[in-house]
Amino acid sequence: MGSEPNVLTAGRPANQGAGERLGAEHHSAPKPFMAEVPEKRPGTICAVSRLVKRYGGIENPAILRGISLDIADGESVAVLGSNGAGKSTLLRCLPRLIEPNEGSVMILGEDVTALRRNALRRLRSRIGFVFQRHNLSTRLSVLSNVIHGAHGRIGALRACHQSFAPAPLRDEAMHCLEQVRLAEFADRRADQLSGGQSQRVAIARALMQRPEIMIADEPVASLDPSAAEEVMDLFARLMRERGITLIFTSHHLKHALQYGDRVVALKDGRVVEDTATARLRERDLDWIYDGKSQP
Amino acid sequence: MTVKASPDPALPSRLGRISPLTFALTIAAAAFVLVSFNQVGLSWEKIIGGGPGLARLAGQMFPPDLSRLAPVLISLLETFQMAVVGTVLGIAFSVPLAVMASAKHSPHPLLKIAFRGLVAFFRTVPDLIWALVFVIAVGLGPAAGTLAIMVDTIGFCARFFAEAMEEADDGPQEALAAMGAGRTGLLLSAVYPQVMPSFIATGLFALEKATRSSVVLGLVGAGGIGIELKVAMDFFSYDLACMIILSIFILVLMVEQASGWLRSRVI
Repeated sequence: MGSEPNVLTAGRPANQGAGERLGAEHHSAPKPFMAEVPEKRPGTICAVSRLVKRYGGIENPAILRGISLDIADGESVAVLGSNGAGKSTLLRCLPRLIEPNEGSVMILGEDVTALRRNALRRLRSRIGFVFQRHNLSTRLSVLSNVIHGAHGRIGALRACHQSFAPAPLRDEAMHCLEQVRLAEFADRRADQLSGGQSQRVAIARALMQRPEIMIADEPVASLDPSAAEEVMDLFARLMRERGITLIFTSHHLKHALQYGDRVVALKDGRVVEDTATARLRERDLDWIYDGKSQP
Repeated sequence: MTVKASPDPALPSRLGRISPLTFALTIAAAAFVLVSFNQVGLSWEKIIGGGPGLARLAGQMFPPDLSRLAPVLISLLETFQMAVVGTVLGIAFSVPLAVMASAKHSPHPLLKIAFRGLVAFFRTVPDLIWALVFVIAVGLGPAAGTLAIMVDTIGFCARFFAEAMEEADDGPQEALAAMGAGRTGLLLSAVYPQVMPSFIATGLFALEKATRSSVVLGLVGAGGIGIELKVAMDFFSYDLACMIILSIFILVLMVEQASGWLRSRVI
């Protein structure tokens, strides 16, 4: 952790305004998004209460042991923790990609844990999810992959391939690709892209959902440092521009400090730290990652 | 510094220990093979004794009789059309059946078991039996052969399609599920694009298989060139039979070559 203090000072202040956060490196004003940006509601957008998850039978130890967490609308939350701490499990439990054993999750005013299949699908269509791997349909074009983001709001046939998509949908997908600076790759097959480009397509696909909340599970873990910086910066900027609530995990501590307003640290399936990024101390990080005694 | 020599580990035996049950089963299988050889009446005397008969047949076959080339080619075309239509219909029915028979995509485990059973039934009953059934159902002619090929293709393709779907990468499916895509959306956007090369390769193999099958289906009156071959053999017109066999050989070879080329392009 010797080099981490520099990281702390390198990150932007957590209380920096959204306008300021756009940073001097992004000179051009963001293009207005063609799709209507959903009206934001103030207050809590995601509330996790006493969430428990264990894989296998009751005899197995729980991965999540009673996690409780409130996330405000527009907030950017970095979830930290060492391997096996439960970060990915927590993120996957939010839209019920993994079924939790106990507890509840409220997202956008809906009790996720109680929703039936169709209602869950409708809610998921409002939640973006970016995975560690891009998870693109690699034999399809980049544009088709982005159009997949509309699956939650239009018929399966029209969203499955760019050939079947109506013109407004194709235009919107192209705009999402412009946002991630990949418009010129629209016709290219996804398996011809680099790792960083693929992850940017995955982000464009998530934007195509018009999400109100975005979950990202180690979105740059599979990329080289240079691509990781580029993709993470682009991703966080897009979220800020649109005022989308962001919950992300990262093993790059710098990213957590730079792009998170708040850090939630997990250890052995429990929240051990929940604080504004600016207030995070180096010894807290030692505690989170090294297992030294709690400060 | 001294290095302690570790004790030599016991060298494993070349052959593992064989259990009494395995030994008994091996002996029983070997005995069955020997008894079967005896039962089928195959002997070197018969094989060598058949040589002159084979030579006489070959002598009567050559040169092939080309006088009926035109009607034979028309029958050959009909045979190939039966194979194509039967395969296309079989593939078309295989796609939804494969979804129902796939462990990952079937709406219910009981449906999966039921459809797997149905597909296995289609596969295990030989195509010649299906041809007999359809000759009774729809009468003599290529329609019966086409339906027989269709059912046989379903038995073949639905199984391999279902396996390909089960082996598809879960990543894109999870991503689409996370976005709120329904079952159809997952299949159309995440599963089918991945398994399409496998589907096409299996479909082309099915066409090759159907082309070979369609030749013999005529023997039971299910249309195609088989009936021409049977008549030629029954009337001892071996030179005509030779021409028919050569035509079949060329057709099957062309289909296999075209199919192999297409597969290499797709995969």
